[in-house]
Amino acid sequence: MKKEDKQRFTLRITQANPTEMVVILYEMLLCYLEDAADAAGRDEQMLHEAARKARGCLSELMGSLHMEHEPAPALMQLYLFCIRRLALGEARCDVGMLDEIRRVILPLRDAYAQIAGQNDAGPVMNNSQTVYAGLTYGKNTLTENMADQGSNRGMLI
Amino acid sequence: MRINYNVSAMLTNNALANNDNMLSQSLQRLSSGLKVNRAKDNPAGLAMAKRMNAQLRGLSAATNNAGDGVSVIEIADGAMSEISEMLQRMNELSVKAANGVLSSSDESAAGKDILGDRELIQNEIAQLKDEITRVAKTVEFNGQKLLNGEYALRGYTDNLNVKVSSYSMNVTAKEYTIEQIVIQEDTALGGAEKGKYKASVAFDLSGGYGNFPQNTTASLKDNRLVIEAPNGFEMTLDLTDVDFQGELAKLPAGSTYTVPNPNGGTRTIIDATGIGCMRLQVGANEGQVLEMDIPRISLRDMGIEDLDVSTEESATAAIDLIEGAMQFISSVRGRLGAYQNRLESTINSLDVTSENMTAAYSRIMDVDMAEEMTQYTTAQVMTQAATSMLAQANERPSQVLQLLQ
Repeated sequence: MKKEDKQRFTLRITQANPTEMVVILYEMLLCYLEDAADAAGRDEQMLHEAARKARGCLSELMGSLHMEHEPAPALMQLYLFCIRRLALGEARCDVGMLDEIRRVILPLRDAYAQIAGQNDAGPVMNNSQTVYAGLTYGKNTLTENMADQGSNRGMLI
Repeated sequence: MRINYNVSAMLTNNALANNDNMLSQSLQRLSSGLKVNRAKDNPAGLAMAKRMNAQLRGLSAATNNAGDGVSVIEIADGAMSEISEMLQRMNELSVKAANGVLSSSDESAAGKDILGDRELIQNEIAQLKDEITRVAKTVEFNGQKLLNGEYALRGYTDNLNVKVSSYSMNVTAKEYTIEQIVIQEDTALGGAEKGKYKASVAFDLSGGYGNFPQNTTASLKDNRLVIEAPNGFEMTLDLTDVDFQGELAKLPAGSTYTVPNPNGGTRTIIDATGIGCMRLQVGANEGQVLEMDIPRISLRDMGIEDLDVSTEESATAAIDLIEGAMQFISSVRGRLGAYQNRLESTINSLDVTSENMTAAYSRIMDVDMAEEMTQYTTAQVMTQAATSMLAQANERPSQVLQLLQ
């Protein structure tokens, strides 16, 4: 995951509602899977690191399931399947297995991305800066300005 | 007169109909092969799940711990299934090598520069052994090696040549004394079993069990002495360094060999420390821990360190050794499976049996099934947006941000 990706994800997390958070987790997972596939057979250390992060995303997804509602048990099964495949893919350095995870996660991401807009719960993080779409014109430069960022940048608990 | 069409509603309706269609198709396919898990199919599971959710909210850290535990087990189990596949292949090769029509290296390769059939097979065996070692050494979770014995219960002996391979959770942490281990060739066996050894163990001098549980028995499996009692007590000692085969070969046939302690005498004191397991804090309170004992996986522990199929006799012996190794792996996997069940029921509830939950989470083994299930779940998410949003919602931005670090 590149630095820009991290910034982009961080920004999105500060603005996301609970469903969008799930979408972000899916995308982070896909990103780490890509990293892992990229490192497979080339850089073992990097592969393990990417797999570890991907596993973290899957654990977080499992942790955010609310089992009394309908698709949660099925999702749990799918995540367990993914963790298993990830472990095998990591042990075997097998890009094909990582791709199998991608094929499970991608449709789920699309589905949740589609319904995320319907969740009107508002952002999970309070107290974070508001981001307005569009550009702000400075006197000499074309730049993004953020007024009153707040000292805690939304990390207040 | 103008008629207004609610175009967006029509579009939505169309999309809904499509999704519904997908859902029923997918359902049909799935129901033929896999039980679809719906909350309403399993009221007991639902009750448990509700409680689980309440706990999850309160105990996100403990949940993460338990989730990590599940991951650890899945990873260890994944690696072990890999190892058992390699053992299967080795078994196949040994059976092949035991066939009398193959050439050994000294027959066909003499004077020529070609390898004998068995030598070729032995090459593959050697590679598989290396690969097993590599997998066992590299499997890790969060930088911690899992299969190198780091999370196994530790035990020591005062005898340099006798090592504690593993022991079960039922072994009380204390010192155990064995007065004598006597090994001799097992003459009752014939045929392929010929040339095996048996051990008789004196736990105390009066023929009792000393500080071992009542009715403890000991048996020799290759180089490992397995001490078992009916209450689940199981301790495995590694006698490889004793080299009783070599010692017995020096003595006349039918002799017995008593394992000596280099410090003098024949007594061996075993210290079972009862520590070393992986401890998972799975509750918010002190003492709500689950201990997992993950034994070391190595060629030596599986008894196939010196596996060799380059002659017909050794290939026949190898089949037996590999069977032992597969049993070892299966028993470890079984134990991990039991931990996983306990872990899941720990997260979920205390009073409903874990069977319900494990049934609800029955594993998807097959890739095609996973994809079909994904399709079904995806369609379900889109048709039932409201419940889907409830089913999965993440309100822990700090944890998610941590994953970016």
